[in-house]
Formats: sequence, structure tokens, C-alpha cells
Amino acid sequence: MKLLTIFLLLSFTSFSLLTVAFNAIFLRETEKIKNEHNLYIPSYLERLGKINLTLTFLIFLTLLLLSIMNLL
Amino acid sequence: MENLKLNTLPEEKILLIQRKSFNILLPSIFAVFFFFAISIILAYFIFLVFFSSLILFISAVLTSTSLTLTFLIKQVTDWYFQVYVVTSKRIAEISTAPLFSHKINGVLLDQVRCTEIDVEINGTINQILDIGKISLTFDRPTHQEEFIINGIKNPSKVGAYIQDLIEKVSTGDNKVKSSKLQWFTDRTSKRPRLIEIFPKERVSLLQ
Repeated sequence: MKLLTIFLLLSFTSFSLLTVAFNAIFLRETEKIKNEHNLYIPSYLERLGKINLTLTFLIFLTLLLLSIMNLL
Repeated sequence: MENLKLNTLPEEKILLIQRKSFNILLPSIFAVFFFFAISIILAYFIFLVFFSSLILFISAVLTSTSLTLTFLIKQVTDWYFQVYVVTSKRIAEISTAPLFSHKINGVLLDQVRCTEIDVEINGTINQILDIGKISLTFDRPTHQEEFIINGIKNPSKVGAYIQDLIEKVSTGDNKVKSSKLQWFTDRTSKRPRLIEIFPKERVSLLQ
């Protein structure tokens, strides 16, 4: 049971890390479109993207902490 | 007008920038929230009821929240980056999904002859919200060469506007009368007058 819990926690953590990576690349790509294709991006959309990245990163940190606590 | 910077041709003026109606986005937003709710319920039964593990339940909820937020942002960004632009020289669709696709589909109005402008509003909800599509068919033997403006608000008005514009470009006349889509009346205009032509049959004539 303990092993299964650790395995599931690590799976969730890696999944969350993938989400963080996706969000970071997505944000960078949006910025690139803004500069390269000369498209206007409203500030609320940029802010939403940054808030989302911060939140997903915090979620990842929480999951990492939970996994470490469970491992020890 | 939308604050959108575009690289235009010399003497080209941006006349209309139309984005898909925000209501088009609502079903996918509801779907994301629906899957979020399902995942929470599943996590509750699997991790709390079956495994009796609060940590696993919290982890599952956090992961699912993270995914939901990401999907929501992606949906809104994709919606925002799809615009239809009508200028004095062309009609273009600019569609960009960051990380996935980038498409610019344009038609130079002085290079083609438009044979059909079809306006379609399908479904009860679309009728209520006045959302539909405009299909522009150009002079090709088949209907392959179509430019479709999908999911926009007030399709009848926009269709009439585009027809006027195409007529102006093709005739070179700047004084073309407005709104020539005869088979559509503005929803705010007067109701059709009903007259009796044959006994027991009623025919409606547009005023």
C-alpha cells in the first residue's frame, strides 16, 4: 500500500511538472507570436497566462513536498 | 474596432475585424468543468472511499485543477487568436493556436469573382443568440473554393456588408447601395406584411 501511494504521488508530481512545462512553453510561444506576427495580445490574457503558470508551479511544489514527506 | 496590428498592403484599409462569438467557447468551457467535476468524484471514490488516503485524494485534486486551468487558458487563447479581417482589398482568416498551428487564409477581392454569399444560422441556441456562418463561394466549377466565416455574431448583417464590399471592389463603384442580401431582413426591421393571394394560402412578402 505504501509503495502504491508513493508510486501514485510520484506519477501525479511528474504529471504536474509536465503541465508546468507545457504552460511555460505555451506562454513563451504566445510572446513569440506577439512579436513575430505583430498580433496584439491584451494584457488580461498575458496576466492570465502568468497566473496560470504560477498556480501550476505552486501545485507542482505542493505535490513534490507531499511526495518527499511520504518518502521519508 | 479591435486593437489589432496587421501588415496591410499600400492603400489598404481595415474595414472589419470579427472574432467568433464568445458563446461558441461556452460548450468547451462547460466540457472542461464537467471533466473536472468527474475527476473529483472519481478521485473521491477511488482514493478516499477505496484507499482511505487523504494525501492521494488531495494530490489528485491538485493535478486535476492544474490540468483544468491549463485547458481553460488554452481554449481562451485559441479563441482569441482566431479573427476574420475584412479590408478594402481582401478577406482573411488569421488563426493561431500557440504551439499547435498558425494559419492565414486570405482572398484578394480584385482577383476573384464571388458567385455566392450564403448565410446560415442553424439550431435553436444559434437562432436565439444570432450566431451563424457565412460561406463565400468564388468562381470555380465546384464549391471547393469556399471561404467560410464561422460562428460569428449577426451573420446576416456581416454577409450584407461583405456583399457590398465585393460589389464595390468588382465594379469599382464606391456608391453601391447598402445591404443587398434581399432574402434576409434585419431582425430589428418591421415584420413581413402578410397578404392573401390565393384563398386559404398565405404568402409573405418582405417590405
